Amino acid sequence: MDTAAFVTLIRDELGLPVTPASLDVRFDELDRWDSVYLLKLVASLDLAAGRRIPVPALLRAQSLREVHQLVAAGEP
Amino acid sequence: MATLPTSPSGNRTGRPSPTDALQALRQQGRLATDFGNVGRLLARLPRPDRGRVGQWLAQVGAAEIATKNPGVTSARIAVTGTSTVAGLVPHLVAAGAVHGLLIETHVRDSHDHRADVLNAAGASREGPPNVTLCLLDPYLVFDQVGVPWQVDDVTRVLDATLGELADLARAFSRSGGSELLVLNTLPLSVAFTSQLVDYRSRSALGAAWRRFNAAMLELCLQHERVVTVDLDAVTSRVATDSDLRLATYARQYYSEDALAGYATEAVALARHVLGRTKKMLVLDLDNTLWGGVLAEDGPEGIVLGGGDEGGAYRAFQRVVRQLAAQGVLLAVCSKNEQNEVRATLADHPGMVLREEDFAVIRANWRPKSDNVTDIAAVANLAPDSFVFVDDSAFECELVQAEHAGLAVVQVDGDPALQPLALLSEGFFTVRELTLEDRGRGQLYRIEAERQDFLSAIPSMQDYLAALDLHVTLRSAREADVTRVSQLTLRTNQFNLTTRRLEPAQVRELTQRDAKGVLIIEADDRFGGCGIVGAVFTSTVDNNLLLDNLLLSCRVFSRSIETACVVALLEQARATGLRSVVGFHRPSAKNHRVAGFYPQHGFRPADQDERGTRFVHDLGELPDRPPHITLAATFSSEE
Repeated sequence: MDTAAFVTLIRDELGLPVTPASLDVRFDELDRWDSVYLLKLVASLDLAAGRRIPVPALLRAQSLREVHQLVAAGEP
Repeated sequence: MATLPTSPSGNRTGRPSPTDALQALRQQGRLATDFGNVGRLLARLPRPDRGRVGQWLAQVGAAEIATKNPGVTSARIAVTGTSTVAGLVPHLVAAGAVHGLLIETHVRDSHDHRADVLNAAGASREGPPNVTLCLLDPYLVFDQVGVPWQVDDVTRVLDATLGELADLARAFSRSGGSELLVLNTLPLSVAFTSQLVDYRSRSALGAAWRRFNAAMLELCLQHERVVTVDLDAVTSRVATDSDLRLATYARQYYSEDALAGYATEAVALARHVLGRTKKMLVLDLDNTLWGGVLAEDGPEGIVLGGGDEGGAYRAFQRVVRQLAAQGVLLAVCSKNEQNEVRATLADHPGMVLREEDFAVIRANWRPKSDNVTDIAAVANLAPDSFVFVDDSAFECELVQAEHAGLAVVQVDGDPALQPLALLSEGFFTVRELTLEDRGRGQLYRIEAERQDFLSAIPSMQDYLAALDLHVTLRSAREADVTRVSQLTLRTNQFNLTTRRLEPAQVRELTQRDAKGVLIIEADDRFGGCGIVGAVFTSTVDNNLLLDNLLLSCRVFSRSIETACVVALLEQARATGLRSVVGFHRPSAKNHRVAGFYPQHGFRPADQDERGTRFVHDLGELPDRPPHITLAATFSSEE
């Protein structure tokens, strides 16, 4: 999944106006971010990745970039 | 990439699917300005898919939506629970939007659900929440069970937990604040039962667990302001399995589907508290109550009664009958010949519903939106208290476009799916039924007889005289409390201050003063109408304050209200009071009573943003309506 598709997924799932530039912003500085959003993403990230995302690693992520890397990690 | 399924009914008519339309509104930044439309689109989405749109709306924020929609009704909901509850918020927001209700949530997540419940009253500057949700999950029990565990260990914790929750319900009932506390039964997951390898223990655990849940359900029989949602009933119609990863790592026990089902229940209760429960079910006939088209197929040709499909339509009719027996009024709104419809209702062997089950029947070729207006006029109800069921997307859209707030259920094709399509939104959910509810259909049929009688009599004055109307105004007793509360919750038009009261609040007023709550009963030549209104009074410094006065729309235009006010004025003068003071607080619905007090000799005294205060100096009193015999029995009890 490329960056553009990932950004679209985040916008669709959460309604957050994120851009590729937002990916590296730490969650505690990301506008309107809430830690509970990571939970909302689990099912759609599973679907996008075609496998189960490791949730403990997801919950440790500090930015959307790290979330994207988790999704991309299993891709060929 | 995850995408929402496309609604099949969307494409058939060539309009965009609700999913596409909602995406477009989000991308154009119009979710707040088009809030009403968002709700109508959401109603066409399968429930588990609504949470995402709720998330978008939560992002936009309740304040922004309120600013862009000045007339919108808001419900304040406090949310707490025994684990992570923030995931519930988008589902609540979406479930509210489906009913045109703006949900303001206040999440309290201090890991002490008891304190959260009792502190929720101060959650918002606007006032206490209408409803407080305390979402309980099975970790509440299993976190307290050691390892290794046996069934007895779980039973002990269940008993202790039940005791604590009963204490919480008692403490909440004594507190002010929120109008309803919502608890829930606990689902028993295979993740726990399968830890026991022997079936005897599993059975014992299952039995103990259900005893706990049964006791939880009985809590709300003891406490009027507490409701227990039966999650078995909510989650059996959606996927039950939680994602065990979320449960384990993030302490979010319930799946999105279960949260969506729970949110629908919670919003139905909020609508009840706000007096927005639906009252009338308006039904199409062809391909709704039976299969086929009566005008083309004839009564013998319609699909009803026998066979698989005929049996499914009959099953739907049984569900409608069940609702009618609980106070939901029925009407027919159908494009058909009136006499053919009457004949089919009377004679078709497959019909469960008969002509006498319907308060109003409109079968003709006029636009259905006009017929809905007509039904509203006959039943004396506002169309926004209607649920309109039809198989035609065209008719549904037309009627909804003409009548804001009216709910639409579009049934499309398979009668087996119709019962749940009608029931699953909780349109008619209330906390408790009254005797009047069970007899309401009958009361409206008697009303139809009255109207026939009226049409045979030349003048309104002659009609009223012939009615032989007897009105009783008396202090409310314990047995009246539920009905009085219900009147405050259901009555919108003739309700001078629209103050909604739960039973406990009504009881408190009756105990404070023998005249605190006066009920109005009416009887006429056609029979008893039951309790049709109430007056809330208090006496301050030798002045009688009419804190509220309300009258059921069934008995408008008979001067019952005049008879009662005259009796109160006469009694005030006889007991040497200085004046009688009345209030009118405008609402979206009660404009027809704005002139009520001036018409009865009160003069406007002062006005603020909430409404107007009127004073009667007890000089000249209005005339008693000559056609009413009034018995006022409140004065002798002091």
